[in-house]
Amino acid sequence: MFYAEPIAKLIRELGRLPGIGPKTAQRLAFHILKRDYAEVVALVKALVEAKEQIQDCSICCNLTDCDPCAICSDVHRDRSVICVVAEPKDVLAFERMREYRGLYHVLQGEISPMDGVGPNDIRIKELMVRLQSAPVTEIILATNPDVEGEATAMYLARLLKPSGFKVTRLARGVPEGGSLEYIDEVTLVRAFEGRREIQ
Amino acid sequence: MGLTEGAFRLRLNELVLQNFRNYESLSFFPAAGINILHGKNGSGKTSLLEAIYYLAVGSSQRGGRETELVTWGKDFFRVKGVVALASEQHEIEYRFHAGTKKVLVDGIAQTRLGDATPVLTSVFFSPDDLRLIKGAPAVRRRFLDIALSQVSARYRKLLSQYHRALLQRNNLLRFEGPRAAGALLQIWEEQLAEFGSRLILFRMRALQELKPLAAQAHREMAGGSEDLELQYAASVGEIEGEIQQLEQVYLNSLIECRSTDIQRGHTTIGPHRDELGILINGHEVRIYGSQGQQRTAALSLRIAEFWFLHAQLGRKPVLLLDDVLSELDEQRRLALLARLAASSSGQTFVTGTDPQRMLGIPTAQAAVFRVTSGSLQREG
Repeated sequence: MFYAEPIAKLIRELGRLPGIGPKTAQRLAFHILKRDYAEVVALVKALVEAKEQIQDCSICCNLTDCDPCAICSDVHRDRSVICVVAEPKDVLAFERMREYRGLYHVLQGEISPMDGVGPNDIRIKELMVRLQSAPVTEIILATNPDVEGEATAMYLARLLKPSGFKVTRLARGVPEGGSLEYIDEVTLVRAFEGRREIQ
Repeated sequence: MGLTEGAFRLRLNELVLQNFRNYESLSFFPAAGINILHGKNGSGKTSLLEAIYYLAVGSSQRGGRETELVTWGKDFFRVKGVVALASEQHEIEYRFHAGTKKVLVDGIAQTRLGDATPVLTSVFFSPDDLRLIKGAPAVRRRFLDIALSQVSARYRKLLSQYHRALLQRNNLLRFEGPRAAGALLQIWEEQLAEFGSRLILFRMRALQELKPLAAQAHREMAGGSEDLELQYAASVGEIEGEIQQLEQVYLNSLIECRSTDIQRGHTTIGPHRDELGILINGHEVRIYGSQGQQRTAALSLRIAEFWFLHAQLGRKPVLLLDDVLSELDEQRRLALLARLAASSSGQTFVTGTDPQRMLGIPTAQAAVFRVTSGSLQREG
């Protein structure tokens, strides 16, 4: 590399971001250098501000700029239900639904021994502490429907059940608006096994 | 009858290879019925069958890794097939580059590799099939896994979920060892029991179908005095009753095995350790069978696989016969040919070094191709 040191340094830093290879890092670096000074300052400011102002909510562990977060401090929300999700983006998915009015708890990960992630590495402790004083009756386990998400949900269920909470898990199977003929057999078997009697 | 049979006929219309084994570039248009491929050793006959099999199963019949399939000195391969099924035509393509495999069906990249499999189904008869009898139990498990994977998307999904949960539990055992808490092991064990018990049931049900087919094939080749029997030996214990019951038995066995598993650093029971027993007149062929009995038993398993797939999918799988005719003695060869002729409504690929020795096949309906170091030439 024959770049001037400041350019090389910029490429190096950009290259450390996820999904950014050396080629892309190079392209981004030259793009940034071509921009107006003010634009670059705005980018830097956004980076620093985000890093300085965003923190974990002390109640639900979601990322927030004010503590407690907007959801936790909203007096209109139902405090008797907590929905447990793996990542902040899952909160967004639930909020888009506009149906759920309870609170959240963000684990910031799922149990996965092959990645060296055990129960103590995600925000389970925080959930247990929170539950000691909160007036919660139902806990919805909304971790992902894969092997790790399922394992995390099972772990939590076993932890929470003895304390008398109502513990629920999201339903699985046929998607809304889907035509049966086009649903893959794996999903259909799930839905079949979880069939319900009409009340 | 004829109409129904024809309506579900499966046929490979075109095969395109790039950098696959010794084929740098090939476009091959096989005939609908029997295709005879002859040529010297090392000319690439087997590789051609391997490519067709790869399109069906997504891996080589030899096992092994994808990098071994790339032409020496190249860094990727591509296998594409145009497959006709009844009035539909589908294109399936596998690309391998820089350690990653991609599959496209009708030009659309599939997010899950398994989604592509049902387009083409095939059975590979190889001189290596003796390994089915003499090889390690893993060879026989793979036999069942591949047959079932070609039939059921659910099985493929269960298999990958099972292996994922297995990997997680094994990691826990290896890195936490005696410190691994029961509650933490259990979250993987419950999933292993759920997926594993269903895998076992799938395999046992398949075996119920395979058993009479294999026994009949064996009888036809060996005469009436030999009784071929297949048995599934589950490492988790006695398999009986409903799925819920089986799941519970499975889970209890896993929990009982914890201390052993912690010592060994891996999970010692489950479908990944089960065995498919093959017996003639009550005796394990692997140990007590003669060379000839072992060969016949292996061939019977393949024939059973062929008819199993046919029954399950309602169409004949593409039949790949790699140099098997020269392996068998005269009487057995005739029996096999009779069977082959009976299935002539399906598509067949046969290889051998000497076209004269394959004349038992009705050549009138066969297309003959000569294979010379990575290229094909039609002769008749």
